[in-house]
Amino acid sequence: MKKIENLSYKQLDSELTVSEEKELLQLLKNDSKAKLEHDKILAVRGSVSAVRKSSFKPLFKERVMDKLLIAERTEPGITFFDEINFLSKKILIGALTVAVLLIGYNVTTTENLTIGTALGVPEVTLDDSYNSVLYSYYGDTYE
Amino acid sequence: MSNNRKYDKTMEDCYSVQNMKKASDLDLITSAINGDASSFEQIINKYEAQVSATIYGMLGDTQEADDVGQEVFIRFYKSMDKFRGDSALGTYLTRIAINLSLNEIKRRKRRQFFSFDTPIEKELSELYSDKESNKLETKELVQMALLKLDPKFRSVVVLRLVENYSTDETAIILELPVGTVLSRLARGQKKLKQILSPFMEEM
Repeated sequence: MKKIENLSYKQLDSELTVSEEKELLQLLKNDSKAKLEHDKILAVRGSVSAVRKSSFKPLFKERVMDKLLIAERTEPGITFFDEINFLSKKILIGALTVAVLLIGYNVTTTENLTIGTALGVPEVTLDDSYNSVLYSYYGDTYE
Repeated sequence: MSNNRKYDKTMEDCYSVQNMKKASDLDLITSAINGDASSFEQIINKYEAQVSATIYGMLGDTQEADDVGQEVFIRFYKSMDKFRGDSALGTYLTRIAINLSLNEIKRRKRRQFFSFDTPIEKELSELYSDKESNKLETKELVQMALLKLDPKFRSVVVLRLVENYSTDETAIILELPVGTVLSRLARGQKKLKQILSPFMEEM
């Protein structure tokens, strides 16, 4: 059955070779099941072609023209929101550039490279934290 | 020899008719770009049938189909100045219609995922159960069967069988190799035959 399907589809949408054409004719002549299958294929194709719906709902053209008119009226150029959108993009790009420059500067000037130092966070050593704890405990007497 | 001459003459006539058609389309577009609304209306009148056949084939008879149809012409209107006439206007509009329909199918799938709407498959099974009551119309059934196809098969079937484009033209519109079009076409038709088989006698 697969053979007849393949040959039928090839015949309808492409081109059969001479031998394939002979084979198809033989099948259609001698095999009733193959003939039935071929007829089914043709029936499906016919019914699909018949579903062609060749117009939209009434006043389609008018609806399109109305929409175009509305679109033209509401697009007088750059609106206030477009302006804000455009400005915020500019500000964002500027801020990102500054941030990248700062990080670059921090990376090149610090010896001990960490994420914190790259972002400009002051480096805290173990001594610093130790001293601050002792200072809070002993107060001014701690030296 | 005389047969050859006759054939050449027929081909010449064909080409001149095609060129005239193309030229008049380009004239209409030029006028529309220059602000002549009636020219654009003529374009809509001329291609509404072709665009609607494609979209209804892809989306079925739904409200969205009408909206997508409007969107096709609006998109074209906004980019008319980019149309160079490399392909026929009908083919160009069909391509827009297919792309927008595929977008709509994706949107529909997303909507169905988040909602409790009846999926297409359910509607088809309801149609099956209505087989006895004379409600069933062949057209409706075939339309539903088309909607059951995967969109990539459906687009090929619609262009080739509903719109009657050749396999080469279908390949150009969908930007696919001809071999892919042929295999999708065969698979699509097999699936359609499988779905429609129980109703074949009635058809």
